[in-house]
Amino acid sequence: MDALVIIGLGGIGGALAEPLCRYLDHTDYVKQVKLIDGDRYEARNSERQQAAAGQNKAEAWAKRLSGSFRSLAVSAVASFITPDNIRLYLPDNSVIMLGVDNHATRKLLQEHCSKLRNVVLISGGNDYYDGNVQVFAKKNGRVLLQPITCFHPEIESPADRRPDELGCDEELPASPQLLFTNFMAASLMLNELYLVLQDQFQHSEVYFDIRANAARPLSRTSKLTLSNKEEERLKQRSSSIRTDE
Amino acid sequence: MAKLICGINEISNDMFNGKTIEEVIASTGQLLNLPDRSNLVILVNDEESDAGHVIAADDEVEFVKAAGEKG
Repeated sequence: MDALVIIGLGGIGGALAEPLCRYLDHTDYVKQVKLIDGDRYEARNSERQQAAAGQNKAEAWAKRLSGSFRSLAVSAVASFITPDNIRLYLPDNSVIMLGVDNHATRKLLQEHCSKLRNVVLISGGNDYYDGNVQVFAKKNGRVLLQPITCFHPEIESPADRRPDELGCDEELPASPQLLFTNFMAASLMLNELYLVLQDQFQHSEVYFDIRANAARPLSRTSKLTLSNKEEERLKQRSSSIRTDE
Repeated sequence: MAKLICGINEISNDMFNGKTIEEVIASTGQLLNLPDRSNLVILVNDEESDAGHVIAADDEVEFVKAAGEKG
């Protein structure tokens, strides 16, 4: 792993940032963590998130965490992920913890990660009481866990828009969230990261519901062969184009 | 025994054998908290299927719950 990136420092990202950094500080996996978010705190976030209104979320967390760890450097990017900057911030060999609040950004991340040779994308999302965590992984060009768009038409063809696509006077529709639901999503994302770091690629998705205090992991594998065949086809096409040249 | 899954919810019952998925949706939809979506993805033993599939004894039928949106 060359880089660990947390995208979205709201309810979910904010809940996993500190324990993740604390864990990584005592391991040799990575020495740098990058926090990315273009959003600022508002008064309405205070029920679930702690910071002063107006502060950029990534910068606030980086300031809180920097200097807390003996061997881990934490930096901030006060910007939304867009098609223009995604390659700069998310190179090959990245592990990405995605805690955003819209499917359009999830789709952008998946499209980008599908082009990388080595990547882990762990995406969490929730509604008021329930939600899910999805894991996409590629190693040496081989897909180990299927894309997060697979079997999820709401992500493959999102009805919402990325924050950078909104006009100045627009904002993403807000809906109430519960702190404990964010925490459960964050905890399950960290569990999946731990498994991946142990080289165990078991679960493509985990559903949870705080009312039942339950989670169900799933290992869907039917699309893996298809994903790897597509990868092979693209490689052969590139190779034949180079031969023609 | 056939199994129906949606999110964290799961029901197993011999009564599902031989019925179409559409028929069991009518009888178990509420128990499973099935979402009311026109683009609901149905998987039978991990492969995409449709509501006309006749359920076999060992089938695992999953109604793929939509991804959580917020964070």
